Amino acid sequence: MQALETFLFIVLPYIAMVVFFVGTIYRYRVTKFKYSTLSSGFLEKRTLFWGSMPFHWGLLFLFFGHLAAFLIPSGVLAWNSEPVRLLVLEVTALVFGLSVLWGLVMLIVRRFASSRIRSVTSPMDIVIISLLLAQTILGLWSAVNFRWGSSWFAASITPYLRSILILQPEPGAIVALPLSMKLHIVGAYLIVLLIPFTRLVHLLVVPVHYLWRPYQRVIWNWKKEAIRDPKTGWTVTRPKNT
Amino acid sequence: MKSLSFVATMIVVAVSSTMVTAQDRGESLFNQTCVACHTVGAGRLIGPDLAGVHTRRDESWLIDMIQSAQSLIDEGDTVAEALLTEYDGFIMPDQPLSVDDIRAVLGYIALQRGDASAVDEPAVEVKLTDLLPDNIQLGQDLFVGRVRFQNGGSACIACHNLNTGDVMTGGSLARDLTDSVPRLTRFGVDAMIANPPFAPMRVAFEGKKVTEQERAAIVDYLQFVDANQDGTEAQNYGAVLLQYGLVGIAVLLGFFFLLGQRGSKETVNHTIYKRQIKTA
Amino acid sequence: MDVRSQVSMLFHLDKCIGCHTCSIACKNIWTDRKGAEYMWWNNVETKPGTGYPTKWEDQDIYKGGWREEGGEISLRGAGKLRGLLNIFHNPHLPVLGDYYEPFTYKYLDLIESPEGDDQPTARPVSLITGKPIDIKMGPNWDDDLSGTPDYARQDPNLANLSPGEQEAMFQLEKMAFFYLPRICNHCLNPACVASCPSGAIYKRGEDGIVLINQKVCRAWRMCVTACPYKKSYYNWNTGKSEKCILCYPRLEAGHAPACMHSCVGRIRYLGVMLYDADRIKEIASADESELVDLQLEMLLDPFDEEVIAAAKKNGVADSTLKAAQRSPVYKFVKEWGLALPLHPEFRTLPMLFYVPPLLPVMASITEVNNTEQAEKLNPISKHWTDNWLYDTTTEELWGTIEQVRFPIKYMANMFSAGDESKVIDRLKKLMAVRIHRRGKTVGDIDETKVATTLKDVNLEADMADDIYHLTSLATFDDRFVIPPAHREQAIEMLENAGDAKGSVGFGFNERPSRGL
Repeated sequence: MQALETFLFIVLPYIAMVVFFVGTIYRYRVTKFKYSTLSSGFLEKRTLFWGSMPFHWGLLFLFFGHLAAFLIPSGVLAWNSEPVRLLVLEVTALVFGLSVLWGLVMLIVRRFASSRIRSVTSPMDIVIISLLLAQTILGLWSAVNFRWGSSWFAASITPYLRSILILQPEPGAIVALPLSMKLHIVGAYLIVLLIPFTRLVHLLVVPVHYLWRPYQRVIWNWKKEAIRDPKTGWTVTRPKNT
Repeated sequence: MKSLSFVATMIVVAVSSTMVTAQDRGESLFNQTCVACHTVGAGRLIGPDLAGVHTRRDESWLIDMIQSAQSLIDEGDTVAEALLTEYDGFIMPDQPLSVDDIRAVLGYIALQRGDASAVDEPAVEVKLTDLLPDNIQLGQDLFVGRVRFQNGGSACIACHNLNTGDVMTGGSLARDLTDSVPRLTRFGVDAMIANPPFAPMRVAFEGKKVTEQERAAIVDYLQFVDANQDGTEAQNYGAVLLQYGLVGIAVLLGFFFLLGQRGSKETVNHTIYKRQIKTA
Repeated sequence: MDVRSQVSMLFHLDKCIGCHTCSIACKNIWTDRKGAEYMWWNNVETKPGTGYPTKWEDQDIYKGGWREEGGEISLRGAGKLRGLLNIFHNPHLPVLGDYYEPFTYKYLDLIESPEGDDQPTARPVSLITGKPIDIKMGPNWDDDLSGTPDYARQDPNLANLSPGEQEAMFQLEKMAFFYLPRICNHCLNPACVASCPSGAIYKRGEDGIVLINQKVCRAWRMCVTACPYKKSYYNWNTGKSEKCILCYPRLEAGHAPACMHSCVGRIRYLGVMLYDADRIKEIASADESELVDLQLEMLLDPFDEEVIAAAKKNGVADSTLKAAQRSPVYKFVKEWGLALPLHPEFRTLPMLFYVPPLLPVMASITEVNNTEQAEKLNPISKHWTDNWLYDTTTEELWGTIEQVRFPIKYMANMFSAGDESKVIDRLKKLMAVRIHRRGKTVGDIDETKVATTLKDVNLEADMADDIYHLTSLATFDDRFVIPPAHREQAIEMLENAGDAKGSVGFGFNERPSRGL
């Protein structure tokens, strides 16, 4: 039992991180062509709306919620110091959690019900979608049965996650948590581990830079000004497009 | 291959960083882990006095007991069962200590001469009428988090419930504390807050010690709560949480429904497609 | 003045016979792949008709192109904020049903079926699922006005035509139509480039070809929404968008694009245009009535010394300038003023120009006495007793333009944002050239009459001859003046062509399938 826990809470996170980084970089460099989600909205759009929208917006909120509890635990605890605010936070989180569950179920139903979507489904899609479903259910189960998770996540799990990051893993607090929470944590590691090998890579290339770039983009095959300047010498260095 | 060696390095780093001399380690582990429930030579608290325990029991039994008392009882160990009956069915929580850690703690215990001054005397019982209302109020505020702990620890309500109408339902991660004072004694509760024996709580308060005054206020409040139980159950916010959540998701989906009105719902060709004959 | 060069195109619609050879040439080279079956980088539409995808011109449905508000333009259905907010689900994304589900037939069943009582049939199967389907729609199902109530009458360009005008268009036996071949316009203000969140789409500086980098494309599909011409297609198999690449590998080697090379009617012309890139934004945001004029104004005279100097300073090669001076597109568009862009109101400044068709506009003259003609016919030949004719006479030159069977308004909706005078101007020029040539070859028109006609539309006799020559007699090299690609100076060409292949819009170094 102890060996298993050591593996799951000390070894697995490092395996997951290493595989994540190495896998991501490898895939980005070598199989860049496949580096996106295989969008299927073109083949089926109506059910996708009821799946994708609740799923993604819910997930966005939950992701930043988890991130906040990890990065600024004292801030979360301060927010929760007023019972009403705690209740508001918990209910909001639960609503978005349910939103994710709803969206995920719709997406799964859609993936299997539509023959067009089935024909663009890879085995990895099924693996990751089952994992996400299990993860969502475990998270919701913990949220309802072990309430005020926003507080005890910040108080007890954040120190563990930090201990992992500073390479001094202290899994003591995790071992004593309820089973659903432990599975939720293991599920998170597995998802991180699998990200480079699934369609989830698209979350690493969220096009935020679009907000800053000019609308039009022109690429030159040669440096147009330099080419007519007689002072430009012959160079073996290729000019670069900026 | 690259990743394997990297992981191995990680583990080595992690293990070696926890290496401290055995002597110091025994003492610090005892003070972190055991002191909430045990003394060495100062009498019983929540658990038995550990003075001379290394002579009373053999080492492998002690290791099993510390690592998991529950499994020892499940195995039918008579000594463990007797202890369970003696201490009102309070099972010692599992301690995530390695065999080496436990040996270090036992070594530390063996070195103690049963010096009574090493541990405070158990506090005398305090009468309910002696409790100051201000202290009770402070205790309640600390419990629900309205007043934050001086060193920034999480409020008790995050994990503990109190069966009283005064406060909002507490968390359900850890034990209900309604009858904690009669169960553990004032001193026991105080010691547990000062040195939490349960890992999640210990981690939560690591470096965020609850001050003596705060502890006293909480203990006062807990005693007050126990004495003023009127038998009415507190509202179950767990169920309410789920209800609120379901209402919320309904509202959210309604919002998505409105969003979904944008764009065309059918293909531009749907009037043509609709009347086409379909083969079975 | 930021002078840049653009390989620009011109389609002469009077010459298009709607044979679809261009479409087939393009499909065979570029889109005969899994996921690309439904793509028609080049397609030929019958007008009036709904086109491909159905009603693509109706931006209330597809939300393509730019919208102008108070002198500022923004993308109608995409853009930075709107695009990112809709990234989880784009409500304006066209779906497969707006195009058609690609299919094939199980031909082998015809010869491999076991002997039986029934004739074996080749069932249609979907190219997406591989399962038998009911074919609901295919490419060009509106060809030659077939299924007219469904297609021709749904043409978005009929929107502001009166019911009477519409009715006149669809009178049986008087119906007229023409063909509209379409490829990517390689716009100066491309909406697809602007809408791409990943920044995968770009315009090549030297020749203005708009391409999608297949390795940067992340399938957000905003370009499909944003392109008002619906010429960016989403490949459902590779998860990448693809579009017409103007056969740039052929262009770089000095060949004409496949669609143009194979054109049976020789309607297509290709040549360099110089333009002032500084004015793009200003002109794209101009008032709708000025769009066409300003776009033509932005195209620069390649003989102007000032332009040449500015172009050289900007790195435009001498050979490109020479090509610009010989450009047939420049002649049609600027020198002769015969061509118009397609739907300038989308504000993408398209660089594919069309010479509007004269033939379907020709008036039908009622109350013509055919008896004299009928008597001259061979008695056994069939003759019609109709009392109307197309007006091909030259008796009254402009008298019939008001009686046209094809409302000018319809054509103006397509080519000049509704301004009929611009279309009439082009059509009159075309007519004047015909009259001039008739005067020359048949000789039955009075010379002074020819002269006044030409003067009427500001044409010289030489010019009219040039137009005639380039329209009817032009050789391959007259029609396609392709500037050298200057590989010796290029960045990309110094790389291994094989390495760069997948990243520049065609071909793949790795299997274009998605296992992960």
